[in-house]
Amino acid sequence: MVSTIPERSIPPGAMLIVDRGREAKHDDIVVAMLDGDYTLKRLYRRGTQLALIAENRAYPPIVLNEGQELGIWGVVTAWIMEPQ
Amino acid sequence: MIALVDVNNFYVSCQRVFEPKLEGKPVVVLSNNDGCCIARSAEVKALGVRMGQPWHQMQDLAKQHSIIAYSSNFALYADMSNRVMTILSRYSPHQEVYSIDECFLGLDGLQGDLTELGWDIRKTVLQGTGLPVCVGIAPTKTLAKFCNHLAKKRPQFAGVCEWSKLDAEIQLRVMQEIEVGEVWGVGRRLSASLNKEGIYSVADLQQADSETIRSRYSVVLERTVRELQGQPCIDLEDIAPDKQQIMCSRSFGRNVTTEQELAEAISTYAARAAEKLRRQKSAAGALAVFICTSPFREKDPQYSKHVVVPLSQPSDDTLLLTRAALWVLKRIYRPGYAYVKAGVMLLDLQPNTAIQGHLFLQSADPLKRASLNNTMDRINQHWGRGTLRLASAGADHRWKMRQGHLSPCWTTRWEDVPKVR
Repeated sequence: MVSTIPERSIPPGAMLIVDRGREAKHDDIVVAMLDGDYTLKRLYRRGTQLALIAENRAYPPIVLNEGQELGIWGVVTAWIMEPQ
Repeated sequence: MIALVDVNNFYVSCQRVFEPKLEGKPVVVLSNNDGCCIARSAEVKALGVRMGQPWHQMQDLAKQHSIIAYSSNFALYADMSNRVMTILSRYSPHQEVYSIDECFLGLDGLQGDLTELGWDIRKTVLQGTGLPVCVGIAPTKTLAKFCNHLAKKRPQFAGVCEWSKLDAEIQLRVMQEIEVGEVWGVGRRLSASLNKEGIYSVADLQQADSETIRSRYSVVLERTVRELQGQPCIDLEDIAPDKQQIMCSRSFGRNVTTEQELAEAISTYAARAAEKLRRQKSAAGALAVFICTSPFREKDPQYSKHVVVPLSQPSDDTLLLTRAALWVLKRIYRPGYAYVKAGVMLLDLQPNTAIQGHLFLQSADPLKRASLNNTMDRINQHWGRGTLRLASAGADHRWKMRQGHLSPCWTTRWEDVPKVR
């Protein structure tokens, strides 16, 4: 059901703690705005190269060209799961 | 130096934070009962929609341009406001929260370039809340307001305008270009009267003779003139003064004709007003109730009544105030009218420590009553407004206002927390 979430890390249905005040670094899990929707991705940031990577390899990374606005909504700092 | 920070199109911007798809789209927020526009996105302003324009009048326009409408969601706006104000409070020990979306900051004694500080404020608030703000910085509150207006309306300022950074020549020119009605404290009525005296622009008012202004208008307007000249006359109020009266009134979602339903509404408003009263630790010495029909439906029979009653003793007790309000309602209610609005007002407010007993005191043990009210407030704070209420407030509230386009309470209800995929 939740296919683009970095699958090794965040289980579906988790409650995420998202910090808006923090600047996103390379390898952070971020909530980004893409095509008017929220999406959960890992951020690739090396030099001027920026990309959003879905941990599910079936989805290709979204490379962002220079000047293309990258709306990062916030950085995921923790998540909470209810016990099964 | 004083900064005025305010959020651009506050209500619309709050909606956009949690629905990125609204970016760049025309969005309006509607008043209670989805009556008229109380906030417009830039796209909607560009279509010529006025503030306060009735929603039903713009159905065609809305369809044609796919305008998206929201019912006002004050739970969301109040929470977002709180977040913005908390961030801004880091910038100065002197903060006056002036309204839900703007505050003054005292910047005296701060080191460094103030315009850069303004940019930092913009960036930090945007990053922390997703809301865009503009900053006006000037030696007086009135000029800070004016600079904020420039920062918002003129793209060359990029959202921050510092008065003392402008050349005298430019200061004069912008004051000449902008109508006097834009000045803080000069309303539409006052500006019409100023126009008759030949005062049209901000510059005209700034150059007016303050003595003449005082004798012809008021001390208040004289202070405005002095403030425009750069002389601080209006102090920052760090602590918002307690309200002198508390009002709780709403328009109904549909016509109400029965006394029973009016009583439910009055009871609900009285309880709400009493809650506000206790929050500011006041007691009311008098109470007013009003009910009215719609003045816009000229063919319908009209009735409106507003009655104030003094209380034998100041009180902050929901039970007592509700009983008093319902007593008034019983006396002013007339059958055969279609009521559209009702309200309760608490007056003659005083600190609740001043409540004194008197000879004919007949209420229940005041300490027990205080603890009952306190318990009720805590339950309602925790479980939501109206969880615990008097039976007279009724249950199904079919008279309640229409909110056909309400968005989720993204930040204040667990069920409404945004979902991400």
